[in-house]
Amino acid sequence: MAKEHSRSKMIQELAEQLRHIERSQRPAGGSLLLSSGIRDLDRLLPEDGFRRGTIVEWLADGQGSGVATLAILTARQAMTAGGALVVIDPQQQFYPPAAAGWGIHLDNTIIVRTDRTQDTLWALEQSLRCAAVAATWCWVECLHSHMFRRLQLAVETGGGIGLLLRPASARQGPSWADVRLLVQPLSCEADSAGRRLRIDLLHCRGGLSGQSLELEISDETNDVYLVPQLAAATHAKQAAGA
Amino acid sequence: MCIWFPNWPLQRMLSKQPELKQRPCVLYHMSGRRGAQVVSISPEAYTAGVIPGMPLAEAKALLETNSGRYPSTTTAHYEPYDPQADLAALRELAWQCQLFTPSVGMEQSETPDSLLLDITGCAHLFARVAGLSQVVLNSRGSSKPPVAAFKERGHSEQGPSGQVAFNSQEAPPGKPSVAEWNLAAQATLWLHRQNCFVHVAIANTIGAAWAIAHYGADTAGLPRSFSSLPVEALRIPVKTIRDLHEFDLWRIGQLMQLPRSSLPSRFGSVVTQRLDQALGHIPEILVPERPVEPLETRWSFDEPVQSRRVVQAAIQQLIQRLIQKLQARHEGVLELVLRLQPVAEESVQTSKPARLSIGLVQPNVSAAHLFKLICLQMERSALPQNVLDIRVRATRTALLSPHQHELFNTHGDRNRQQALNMLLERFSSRLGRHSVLRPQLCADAQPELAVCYEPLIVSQVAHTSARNFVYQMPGHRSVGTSPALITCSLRPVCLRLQPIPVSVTSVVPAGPPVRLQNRTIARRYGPERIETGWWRSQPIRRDYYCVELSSGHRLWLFRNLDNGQWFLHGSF
Repeated sequence: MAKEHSRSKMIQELAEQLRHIERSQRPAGGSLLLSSGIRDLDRLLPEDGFRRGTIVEWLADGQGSGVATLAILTARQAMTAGGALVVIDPQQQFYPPAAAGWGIHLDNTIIVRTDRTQDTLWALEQSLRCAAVAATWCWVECLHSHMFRRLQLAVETGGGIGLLLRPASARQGPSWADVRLLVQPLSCEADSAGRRLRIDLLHCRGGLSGQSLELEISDETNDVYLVPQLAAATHAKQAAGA
Repeated sequence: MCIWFPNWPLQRMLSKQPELKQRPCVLYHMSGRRGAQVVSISPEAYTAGVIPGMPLAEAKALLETNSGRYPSTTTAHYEPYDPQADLAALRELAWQCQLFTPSVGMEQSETPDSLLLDITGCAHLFARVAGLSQVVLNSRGSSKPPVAAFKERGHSEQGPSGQVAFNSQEAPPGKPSVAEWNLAAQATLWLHRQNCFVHVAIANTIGAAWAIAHYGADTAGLPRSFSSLPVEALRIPVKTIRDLHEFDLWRIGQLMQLPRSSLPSRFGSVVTQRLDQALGHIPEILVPERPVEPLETRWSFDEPVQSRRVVQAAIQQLIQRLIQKLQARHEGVLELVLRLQPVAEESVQTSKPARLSIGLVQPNVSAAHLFKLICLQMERSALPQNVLDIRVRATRTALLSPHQHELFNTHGDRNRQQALNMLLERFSSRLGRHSVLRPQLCADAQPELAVCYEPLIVSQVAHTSARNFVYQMPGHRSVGTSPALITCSLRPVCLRLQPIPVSVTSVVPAGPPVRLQNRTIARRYGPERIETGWWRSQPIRRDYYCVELSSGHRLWLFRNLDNGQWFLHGSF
C-alpha cells in the first residue's frame, strides 16, 4: 500500500516536472489555456483545459452522437478571447442557427465549402496557421500521418485550436493531436431530462489517459454536468464482517 | 450640340426596368423634417394628380384612389431618388457618345441632365442619311434662324422622338448643313436604342444650344426662335428669374432690348454673362468627360510560350509594374483580372483566352501576395498551352488607408485583421468566391431557409462596396435587428443539405415514430409542426420529431404531411 502510494506520488512529480519543462519552452505572454467548455472535462486534463496551439481530436461513431455539440462548446470558449471561428464544411452540413443557439457569434464565423479532399486539407492547414483564427472546426474522415503532422505544425504556428471531428474507426490510426477524446452516446431513462454522453480520454499529452466521465446535457437548460455516480453497495462487506 | 434628357432620373430607371413603362412611377427622397417627398414622376402618376414636391404619403393616397384606372396587375412603383447613380449613368452615356465626337461634356449643374457635344469638324462624317424617314423643315424666313424638326419612323407624338433646332442668328451666313442635322438625327436614333428620350439642339454656342434644347419648342411642338425663348433658358438662378418676372420680363428678346449697363445692378452680373455666352460674345469652355483609363499592363511574346515558369515570371513582372502605377496614385488593388491569350488556332476551344480573377477584402499593394493568389488560381484552372499575350488589369481599386506605424504594438488587432483578410483572400482565390461564406440568420420557419450565406468577397458586378469581414474583439458586437435565436436543443448542429427518405414505423398511421429502420426509438420529442405560407412557390407542411435511439443517438426526423413520407433531416 505504501509502495503504491509512493509510486503514484513519483509519477505525479515526474508529470509536474514534465509540465514545467514544456511550459518553459512555450512563448511567454497570452493565455495559453482554453477551457473545453465543460467544467468536468477540464478536470481530466492536466492543466484544466486545452492548450492553445494544439489539435483536439473528437472521435465518434454514427450520426447524432453529440460530438458536434461538445466541439461547439469548445469553439465557443475559444472565441471568447477574440478571433474567428472557421468551419470547414465539405459536406455542407453545419447548421449556423443551431450553433448560434449554443452561443456562437455568427459575425465572427466563416464557413468554407470545399469539393475535394485535398482542398479540405489545404483549407484546414491554412486556417490553423492563421493567428487571427481562434478555432477551426472540421469533419475529417481520412488523415494520413504526414498530413496530420503538418496540421500540428500549422496550429503551433497559428496559436489557435483545431477541432477535428473524426469517425471512431480513426482510433486505430496514428495521431498528432494533443488530446484524443472518444464520445459515445448513452441510452437514458425514459424520465431523464436530457441526453447522456460518455467521454473517454484516449490520449492526453502530459496527462493520464484512460480516464472517462459521463455527462448529461439538459434539454431544458442546456447545461452540461457530470452524471452523479452511486457509491458501491456495502451489503457484501457487512456480510463478510458480520 | 446639346442633348437634353427630360426627366433623366425617371428615364434612367425606366431604361433599366422597361417593364415599369405604362405604370405610374414615383421617385422620392428623404428631406429632413419633411420626410419623404416626391422628386420625379411618370406621366401616368401626373395624370393621377401627383406633382413633384408633394409628400410621398399624399402621392400614395392619390395613386391608390386612382388605381381603378390601371389594370389590376399594374400597381404604382416607388423608388428612392439616387442622384449619384443618375450622374454615373449620364457620365457613362457621355463616354459612349464619343462615337459622334471626341469632345463630350456634361452641363455644369448640381443635377445635370444634358450632354454637350462639340461637333466642329465632325458633321461631314455623318453626311449620309441613315434610318431617317421624315425630315420637316420649318423655316421662318431669312431674318430668323431656320429650325428643323423630325420624327422617327412609326412613332407617335408621345413616343421616342427628337427635336433638332439650329440657331444661325449669329452664325456665318449660309444655310445649316444637312450633315449637322444628320448627325443630330443619328445621335437621337442611337439614344433611342438605349431607351432614351431626348431633345437635341445645334447652335454655335453652348448657351444657345442648351436654351433651344430645353425651351426651343412651343406648346404645339413647333420650334421657336432664340429671342422668343423664356428667360429660364439662360441658365440663371431661380431667384434671378423671379426678379425678372417681377419686372414683367419673360422673354430673352425683352431682356436684349433693355440697356445693357442697367442689367448687372438690378439682376446681377450672371444675367449679362449668360446672355453673352449664349450669343457668343464671351467664350464658354466645354469640359469633356474622359473615361478613366484602365489600369493594365501587358506582355506580348514574339513566339508562343509553353513553359509555365516563363508565363509566371512574366505575370510577376506585370503585377509589379501595375503596383508601381497604383502606388503613384496611393491606391491599392481590390480586384485583379489576368488574361492569357493563346495562339489563334483552328479550334475555337484552344484559342479561347483564359481569364482568372482574384478579389481582395481590402486594397493591397503587395505584389508578392497578389502573385501568390494568382498562382493559387492557376493551379486549379485549365490554362492555354501556347500563350502569346498576357494582360493584367486592376478592375477595381481603392485608396489605401494610411496608418501610423506604432512603436509598441500592444493590441495587434490590425495585424490580426490583416492576417484574417489575407486568409480569406487565399481561400477565395483557390476555392472560389462562393466557397467562402458568412452565415446570416433569416426569419423563416423553414429550417433550410432560416440561414442564408453571403460571400465574403463579392464581385464588382454584384455590389458596389466590398463586404469586409471585420475582426471583432469580444464586447464589440454589431447592433441591429436579427431573427430571434431558437433554443439550441430544438435544432440539430448538423443539417443535411437534402433530407433523405427513411423508413419509419408508427403505432398509428399518423402517429409518432416508434422504429427507425429496424432501430428502436427510446424517446421522442414532438411533434413540432412547421408550415409555410401557401403563397410560396414550394410551401412545406412537416411534423418534426427529435428522436433518441436506444443507442443514445439523437436524430431529427420529419413527416411530410402532404404524402406521409418520413425523412431524416439532421442529427444532434
